[in-house]
Amino acid sequence: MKNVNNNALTFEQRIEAQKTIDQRKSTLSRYGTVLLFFGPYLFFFCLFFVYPIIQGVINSFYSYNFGNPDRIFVGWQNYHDIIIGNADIATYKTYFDEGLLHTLYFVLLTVPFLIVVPFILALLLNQKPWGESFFRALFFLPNVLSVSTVCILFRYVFNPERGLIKGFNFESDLASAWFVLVIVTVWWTVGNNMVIMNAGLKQVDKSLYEAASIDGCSPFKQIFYVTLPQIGNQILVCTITTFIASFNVYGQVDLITNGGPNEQTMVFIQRVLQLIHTSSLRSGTAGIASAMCVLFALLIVAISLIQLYVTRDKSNSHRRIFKKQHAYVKEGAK
Amino acid sequence: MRTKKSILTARIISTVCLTILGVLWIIPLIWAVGASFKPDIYTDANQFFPSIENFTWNNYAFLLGSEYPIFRWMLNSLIIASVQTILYLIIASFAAYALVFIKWKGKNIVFTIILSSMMIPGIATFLPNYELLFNMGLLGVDDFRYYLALILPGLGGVFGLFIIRSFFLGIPNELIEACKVDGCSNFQIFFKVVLPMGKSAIFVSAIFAFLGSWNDYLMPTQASLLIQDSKEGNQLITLPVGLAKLVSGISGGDATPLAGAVISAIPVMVVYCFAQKYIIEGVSRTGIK
Repeated sequence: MKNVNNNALTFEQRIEAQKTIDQRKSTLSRYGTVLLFFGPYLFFFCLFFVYPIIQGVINSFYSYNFGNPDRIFVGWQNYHDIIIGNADIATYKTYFDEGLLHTLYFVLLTVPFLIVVPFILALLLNQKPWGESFFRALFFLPNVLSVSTVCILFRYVFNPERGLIKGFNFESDLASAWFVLVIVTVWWTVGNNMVIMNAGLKQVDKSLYEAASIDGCSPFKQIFYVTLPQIGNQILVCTITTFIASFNVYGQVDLITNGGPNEQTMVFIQRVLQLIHTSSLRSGTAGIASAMCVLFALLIVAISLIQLYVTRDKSNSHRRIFKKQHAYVKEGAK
Repeated sequence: MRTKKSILTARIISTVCLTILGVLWIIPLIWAVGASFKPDIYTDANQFFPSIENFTWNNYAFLLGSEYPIFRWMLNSLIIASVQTILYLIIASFAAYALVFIKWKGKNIVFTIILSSMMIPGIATFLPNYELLFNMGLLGVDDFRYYLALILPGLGGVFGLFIIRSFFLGIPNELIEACKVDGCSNFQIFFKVVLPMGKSAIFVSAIFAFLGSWNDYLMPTQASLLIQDSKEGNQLITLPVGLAKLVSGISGGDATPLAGAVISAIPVMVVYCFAQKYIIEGVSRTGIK
């Protein structure tokens, strides 16, 4: 039958039909290739990222214990317990509030240093010092060490009586504890932002500085009126990633102060882990921990989005055009 | 105009400032290496280096003879990090190819979703992942399945894919189109054109994947809690977990953990000396869209 039908078509129609079949075939094979190339990654991304997020949200509505299949649906109870509080068990709310508060302290104490210090270092590196790449490698070096290595080193360096830097009793004095945590974090991670900012500075057009100095702009003012606006994009990237990384603090606190003194540096992640490992609390704590994580994730995403929104490219079109021109010039120079 | 003189002044000032800061940065490391050769931290506490008569290898000798097998931990970390890096690079570079060189509906949306997942804090996915791995039978067992529990979750990582994709975007699309017209399959293009051109990108993300796995702390420590705390269990854990055990296991003025920290830093430092150019280049690319 098909053959007969085919024969009934005109030559042009047959050509057209063949074309559509070819197109369909190529679309099909294209999507087959996509599946083949992208599928494995997508599988792992979904399994270890999308699924856990969905499962985490679902878990937050249940009362259950880790590793125990018996679970009771409790609706918004977990959220109620950690936000508003539960008269029977006040611990959940305390855990959430204090964990969040201490994490926030850590963020507010470290992020300014992790933006300003790298910026100063990047500026210095941009003045063409002798041994530029040596210095860049030196300041980046601590970044590649593991958190355990860094923390062991600094527990000895800051040993109150016998260390290199004495007098900071980080195990019993709160101010010293925060001081040591901030110093260690800055020492450890400053190189990352420095390298990003330095790469941005290298792209700034030198003629801008010349124009500014002809207009009578002092080198110090040039930092604010030329350099900062020009590397705005890099500073934005650094700020957002540093915020997220600082909110995720765990290793340093775990290994240096262990949440002490008096649980005053106990951060959010430690509280969550405490909830899943503890047996002294009433059962169902894994659900509470999940609800805490959901709120925490929402908070961080909200902060990141606000940062992106506030710093969005408004109407400074001349800057965008300049950027584009710059890109063209660079392409041409290759 | 910047005169030659002002440029020279800037060079001198910046070199001096960087030297001072650089010394500040490196002093803790040098002091710690020195201190690891003291018999204990009470000796020569007011000196920067241990004095010659007090110099001792004891901390290292004690550590190697103790129930903490630091070289085994290194081997474990090395196995986990290498296997994860290799698998991840294969998966991620194929994925990046599909994202850059094949046209398909919704690929930009998919990539945006993947990229924005970087905002989600690790702890949010940690708990369900922990349970998932437990239910898969990879946690709470005292054999190689524990390694799988640490390797598999990293294969969905975003950062390496992001780097490889951004390098691939720099490869002219006309070249790929020309290959397609010549009748090359996607596999041929991938292996013969894109991979050789994107070698440096893959190398850079290899370093990041390796370091990320080597230094991973949260999941390995939590996973190790389900392994029995015994001599056999100690054979399975990774280096950061082991070092953390040293901190809690040995107390007082003992400098043995310091020796462990120094040993653990050596391989990373050696790799860093050879690869720092690529590492720094990779980092600097993350800030440029």
